[in-house]
Amino acid sequence: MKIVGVAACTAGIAHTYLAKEKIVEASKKAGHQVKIETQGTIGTEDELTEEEIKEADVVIIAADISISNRDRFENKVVLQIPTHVAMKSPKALIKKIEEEINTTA
Amino acid sequence: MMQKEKLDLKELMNEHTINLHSRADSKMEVLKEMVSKLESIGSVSDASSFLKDVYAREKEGFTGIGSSIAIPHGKSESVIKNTIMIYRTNQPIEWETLDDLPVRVIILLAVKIEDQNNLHLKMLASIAGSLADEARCERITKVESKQKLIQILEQNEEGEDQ
Repeated sequence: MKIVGVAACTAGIAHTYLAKEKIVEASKKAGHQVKIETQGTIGTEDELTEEEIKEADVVIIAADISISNRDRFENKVVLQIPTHVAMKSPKALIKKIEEEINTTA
Repeated sequence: MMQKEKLDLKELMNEHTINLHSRADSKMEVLKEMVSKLESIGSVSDASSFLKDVYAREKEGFTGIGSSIAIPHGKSESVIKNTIMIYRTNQPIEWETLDDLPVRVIILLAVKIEDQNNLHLKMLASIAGSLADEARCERITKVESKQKLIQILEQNEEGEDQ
């Protein structure tokens, strides 16, 4: 499965990056391709390309604030969660996505 | 692919910003110790005003990330110099944490409100991200010397699946 996503938190200093790493780690362990963009106080990093978004099976938005350029994900399967969900139980998150994608497929 | 990127944290932390044997036994007490140290080394101009900003962030959500570690942080006008301060308490202390367990290691990030120095912010982001690795968190809670702690944080491994 191809997963893309965006992580963003209130201060944009710590949780954004921790949530990103947790999602990346859990996705890779489950054998998925993954890329997570971060929108933090430094600005946007690892920005998703149009191509990556187009090819993605699912979009994870792990954010405590509203993210920029959300309209990129129109017509995509989007799962929105607060950063702490990604930080606390990344494995369960990926599993839930797998299940949902399988039932809608 | 294993990518080893070495961070140089000496602008952000040193032996004076670490205490591996704090006797604080509450969140308020340890944060007070930390902010007054930040003031005494010249990283913040006003300890109590910085403490207020740290608590404002605390209200927005848990900073206890599990694995006995908390990462409170404040982006504040009282910060003069971006600093990473790390205190480890002798006793586990109560904190709002994702795993509902107390913490022993408090990594306090003091960040200037207007900062042209993206490099510092990138280093902070990189350290925060690296705490996703539970094995690394465990090493941090057990490390015996300040120098070793800095080394662990400077060693940044990316892109490797276990």
